[in-house]
Formats: sequence, structure tokens, C-alpha cells
Amino acid sequence: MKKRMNGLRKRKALVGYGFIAPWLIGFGVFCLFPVVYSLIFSFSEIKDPTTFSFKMVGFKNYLDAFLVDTEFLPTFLQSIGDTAINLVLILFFSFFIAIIINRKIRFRGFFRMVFFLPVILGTGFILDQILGENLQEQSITLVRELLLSEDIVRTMPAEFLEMIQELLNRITVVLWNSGVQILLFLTGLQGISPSIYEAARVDAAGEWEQFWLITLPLMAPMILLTVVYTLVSGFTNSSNEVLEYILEIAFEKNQLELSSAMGWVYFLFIILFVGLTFLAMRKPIERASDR
Amino acid sequence: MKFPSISRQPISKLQVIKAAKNFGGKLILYVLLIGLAFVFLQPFIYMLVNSFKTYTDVMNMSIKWIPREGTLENWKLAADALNIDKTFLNSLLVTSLATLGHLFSCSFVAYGFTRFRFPGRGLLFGLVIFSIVVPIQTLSVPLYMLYSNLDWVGTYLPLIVPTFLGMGLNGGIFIFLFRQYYLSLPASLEEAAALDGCSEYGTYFRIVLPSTGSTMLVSFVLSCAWHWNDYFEPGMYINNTKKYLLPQMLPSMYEFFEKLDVNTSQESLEMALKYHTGVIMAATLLCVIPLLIMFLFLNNKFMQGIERTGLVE
Repeated sequence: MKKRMNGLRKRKALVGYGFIAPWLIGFGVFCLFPVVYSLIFSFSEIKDPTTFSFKMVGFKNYLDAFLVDTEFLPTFLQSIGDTAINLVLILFFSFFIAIIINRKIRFRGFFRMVFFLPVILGTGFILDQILGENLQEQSITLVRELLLSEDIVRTMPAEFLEMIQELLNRITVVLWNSGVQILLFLTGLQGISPSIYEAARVDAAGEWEQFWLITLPLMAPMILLTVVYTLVSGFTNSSNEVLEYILEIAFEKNQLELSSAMGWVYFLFIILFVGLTFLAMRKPIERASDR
Repeated sequence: MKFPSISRQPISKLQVIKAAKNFGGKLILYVLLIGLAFVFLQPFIYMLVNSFKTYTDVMNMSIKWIPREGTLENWKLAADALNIDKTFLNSLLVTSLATLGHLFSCSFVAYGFTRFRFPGRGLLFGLVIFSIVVPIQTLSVPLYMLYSNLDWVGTYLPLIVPTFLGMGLNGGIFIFLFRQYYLSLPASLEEAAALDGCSEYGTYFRIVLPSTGSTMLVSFVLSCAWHWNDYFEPGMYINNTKKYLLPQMLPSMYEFFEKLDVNTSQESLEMALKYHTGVIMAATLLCVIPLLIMFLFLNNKFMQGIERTGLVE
């Protein structure tokens, strides 16, 4: 009997491998192979670029990335700071938007569609243009026309205006980058059973209490998922400055080895950062959702 | 006072305050909604308006929202510059094949990860997450070598083949999405099918796959949008202008315009009169419109799909 069970289990395992076989092949060829190659590059020096013959040089490229290249480290730190600030803002705005479009509002279909535009256009060149091309101009006019009159603007210090402009720019960037996050939060909100809110209302809990005691704890796992997604997409999207710099090193300066080393430093950092955030957040979140 | 009073008294002060509060809350809500919606819509309105402006209108700072002498010339020039009849079809071909690949392979692979126990499952699923996290840019050099050895450079194969194997642009995310859905699916139907002597593959294709509708739709929309917008990978592998994809044309167009601004020869001045911001705006819109149309058609179903993806356990 036991042997048969084992046989069945073995067969099931084989079928399982059968299902994931396409991915195994794909991963091996299109991910593992290039990953191993770029790892080898990062430790070597290419002798002849036409035949890719190389010799190992140890950690030289890694040291060069930090010690010789003066731009890598500042770009790197800048990117970390930006991503961290954007993370907080994206979480806040997308949670907020998800909550209001989950309510019973007029023209809900229209508003939902508008807020999902970033999901459709949230990647690629067009977005970069939307955000880059007329952003400066936009926010200046916005400040001037909506918030302040000409006279006040003239008397204000330039630094202050610049700060406001910076803030508005960042909010625009953040809003345009929070499409998928709004979507994730909305799914989470939809998953909370209305009967819990009803019970709370019977117990005379106000909207504010309902939010803090029901919505937030129950959304905790979704918040964790969103944090991880936001970090990963922030670090890996094509307009990330570190990645742009790495590409520039590879293709414009033709230093493949150096760019591979930088790529690895950056990648290990992403894994560490995301992993630590995940571990640090998991405990409190589990406690919150157990309550 | 916790409960509304049952007796019919004249409206109390408290009720008036409550109603006012309610109204104020609603007002703030709608102001916020409209304000936020404006942030998203404004670039489109801006582009749309500018795409109908003539050169004199563009230069005239006093004309902001309503063009004085509207023109369709920009759209014609943009369509020509984008070579739209060719590039549109190319993009359509690549996007639909790549999306098909994702839907087919990721739903299949995710099922294997969810319903079967086999040695190394946890590790392998960890590698799925790994494939999401590793930036494609850092692998571009070895990938380019690989594709040039396979003789795939200059064809659409590097954009399409990986998607049929669960990789490609964000393939891991779709495996993750489908896995979340299967986790929420009760196994009883599948067990019943197995008792009736249906093989695992048969069960998958006959029972599980037809039930994935909403996750399928969400993945379809996301995969379409991501592939349509992508210009990094096509830019790497497709160097033949005949095979260019639609969004690939935009970066070179923007570059061309920047050069026009710097150059001051007679010829480029004439060009600048013809190709101004309006043309760029029209071209950018032309690239987005197909996606917008798709989204308009699918919006309602997409919303329902989102509500049922089973992303929440």
C-alpha cells in the first residue's frame, strides 16, 4: 500500500514537472544562461570583443564601479532615495484613490476608467514623454493659475516656488506610476466582506473607526504585496537612472565588464532591500491581520 | 445619541448638523476626485488640443486651449512620419502573438506550481520571482549574444518565443497572478474529473482553463499594454526599419525634432515650420489610441475581472 502511494506520488510529481516544463526550458535559456554569462563578465576582462575571449580578473570590476567611476555611487544613492520617497507617496495615494473609487459615487465607471489609464499607459516611452515633456511647464502654470495670483508669486522667494514645483512634479510622477497599485488595493477592498462593516455599524462604529479597525488590518497583506511590487517596479523600470547609466556604460562606452559588475551590485542590492523590507514588515502585518 | 429616534419629531438641530457634515464630506470627496482625475486627463487634453494647432497657433502663447485655426495637417504628417500602415500592423502582430504566448504558457505553468507537489517546488517558484526581479537591462548583453548566435536578431522571435515559455516581458507576474487564482479555486471539481478517469492534462484543458476567464482578461489587458508600449527590447533586436514597431518610431522622431531646434539652416527652418509640437502630439496620440480603444471596449469586463481575480485569499 505504502509503495503504491509512493508510486502515485511519483506520478503526480512527474505530471507537475510536465506542467512547468515550458517554464523550466524558458528560464534556463532566457534567464539562467544570461545571468551566468553576465556573472562571468563581471569577474573578467574581455580580451577580444569579436570572439568574446576573456580572462578572469577577480573583483577588479567591482572595485572600479565604486572607486574609479565617480558617477555610479551618487546615481545609485539618488535612485534609492527617490524610490523610497516615491514608495511612501505611491502607497498613500493609491490606497486613498482605491478607497474613494470603491465607495458608492456618481459616475463611478468614468472615474474608475480615468484612474486606470496609468495601468494601460504606465510603461514605455509615451509615459516618459507625458511626464517629462510638459511637466515643468504644467506645474508652473498650475501653481500660478490655480493656487496663487501673479502678485503673490512675484513677492515669493524663488526657492519656495521651486519647492512647490518640485512637489507637484513628484506628485504627478507618483500618480502616473500608481496604476497597478490602485488595482491591487481595489482588489483587496473588494475582498473584505460587507457583513463585517454592517456588524461594526450595528456596534455604532463611525467611518473613521471602521477604517482603522477593519479596513487597515484586513488590508495588511495586500499592503505588503503592494510595497514589494512598488519597490521592484521602481528599481527595474526602464526610466530608472541607475539602469540607464548601466546601459550607457555597456553600449556607449563599450565597457561590458564594468556594466555587468554594476548590474550585479545593483541587483544584489534590490534583492537585499526588497527581502529585508518583506521580512521586517511580515511580522507586524501578520499580527495586525490576526487581530 | 447612538440610534436614530423612532418618534417623528420635527427635525432636530443634530440632524441638520449631520446633514451638513454629510454634504461637506461629499463635496470634498468630489472635489478631490475631479482634481485627481484632472491630473490623469490633462496630458491627453493638452496633447489633443495641440495636435490640431497650426504653427502660428503653437507659437502664440495666448492660445492655450482652443486652437484659432484648427488643422488636420499634423495628423497626416504624423501618420506618414510614423509609417503607420506598416508599423501598426507589425506592432499588432507582435503584441497579439506575445500576449497569446503569455496567456497560454503562464496559465499552464502556474497550474503545475499550484496543484502538484514535487521536489524543488519552493525553490523553483522562488526562481519565478527571481525572473521578475532581475532587470532585463542587466542581461541585455548576454541575451543579445544568445539571439545573435541563434540568428534571431532582426526578427520578431526574441520578442515572441520567450513568452511561449513563461518568460518574456514580466512573464513571472502572470504566473504569479494565475497561481493566486488557482489557490482560490476549490479542488473538488478536478477531483471529480480525476475519479471519472480524466487525465491531469485533460482536466486542466477541459475544466480548469475554461474557468480562468476573469484572470485571463486581466492578464490579457496587462500583457497587451506592456508589450504594445515596450520599446526597450524591440530597440535592441529590431534594426531593420521595415520591421520597426509603432512605439519604436517615437524616440527617433523626438530626436529628429530636437535637432531641428538646434540647427538653424534655411532648410531646417522650413522643416521646423512644418514639423512642430503639434505633429509630435498627433504622433504620440496615434501610438496610444489603439490601446485606448481596446481599453474602452474591455473596461467594464476588466473591472469585474479585477473584482474576481482572487488576488485576496
